[in-house]
Amino acid sequence: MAQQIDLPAQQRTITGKKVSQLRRTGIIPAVVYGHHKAATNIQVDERALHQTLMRAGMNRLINIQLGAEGVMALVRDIQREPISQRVVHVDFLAVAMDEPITANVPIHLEGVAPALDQGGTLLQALAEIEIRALPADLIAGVTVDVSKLADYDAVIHVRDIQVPERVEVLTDGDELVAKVAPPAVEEEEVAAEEAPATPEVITETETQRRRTERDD
Amino acid sequence: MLVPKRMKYRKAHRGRMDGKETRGVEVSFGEYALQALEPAWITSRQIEAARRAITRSVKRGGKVWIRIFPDHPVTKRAAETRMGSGKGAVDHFAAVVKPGRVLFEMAGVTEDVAREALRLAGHKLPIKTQIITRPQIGVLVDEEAGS
Repeated sequence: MAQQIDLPAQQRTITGKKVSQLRRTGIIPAVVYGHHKAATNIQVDERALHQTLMRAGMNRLINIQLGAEGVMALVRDIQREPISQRVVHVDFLAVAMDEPITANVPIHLEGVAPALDQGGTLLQALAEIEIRALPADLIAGVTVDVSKLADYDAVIHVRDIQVPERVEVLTDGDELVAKVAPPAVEEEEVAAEEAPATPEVITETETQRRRTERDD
Repeated sequence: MLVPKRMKYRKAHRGRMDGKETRGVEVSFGEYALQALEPAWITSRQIEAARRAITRSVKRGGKVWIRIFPDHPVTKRAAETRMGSGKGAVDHFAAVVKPGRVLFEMAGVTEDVAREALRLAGHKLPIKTQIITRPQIGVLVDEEAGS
């Protein structure tokens, strides 16, 4: 049984552009909402949040400790600064433990595909699948063994993925998960060298088109 | 080279490149990506040169995604023309890139190979770039967390 993940948090009164002051002091603004619960602005310590995200990912329940109250929640969204990748805000989705929820869980590939010896490339077509389960039964991810990909025709579909009994897979069973693609034929440079076609201008009248051709 | 198939208007204003990019800033398809750190117009020739640098460096295997498209027409006046007489003819197309934009993504190769390929691709572009990976979350098991 996985350990429960606790995240200490405080109610947040600072909103809007002033939250950048919080960030400067190592506090990250966040929000908790969901399941008939009004959205609550909270703030968490940056280091504690980082540790929590590294352990919980998007699919493990987090016990958000708001004073004496505890809220069981999943990470719904993480906003990052585009260049430094620093977390600037987190959305937590509060869940009811007796109602099934849907979640996207990552697919991990394990093993070595025999077809790779022939020079192919292992392609993972699907990074995650959608599942439905009670919050307590949620899984952090699924593992797919690629050692049965013996040749380029062999494929692994979503229906081949093994999940625990109380977890329902919502992604279409026919979707491709992984295959080994044959080595790409070295494409001829000629194709890329050819002069680019002139784009068609859809709003242009015949007169304008003639004038442009003359100017060019 | 990448060129639009059809467009609504032949010529466009130059526009502004203030601020950072807010969309297309995450690694969405592959595992490793080249991210822009400066604003620039990146021409379809530069995109093609960078793409070739990646495919040649990798030699075989791997998959590459180009996350930008040159849809901005760049005009140029004919040589030895006096000022006036309207805007010049369309010369080439460029992608308008702001800091943070993911330019290329790669998957299916080892990290060393991907980093080298993206480094070479970055040298074909007129801007500073950085190599990024998907953010690591949920990777720490409870024992490692020490709690």
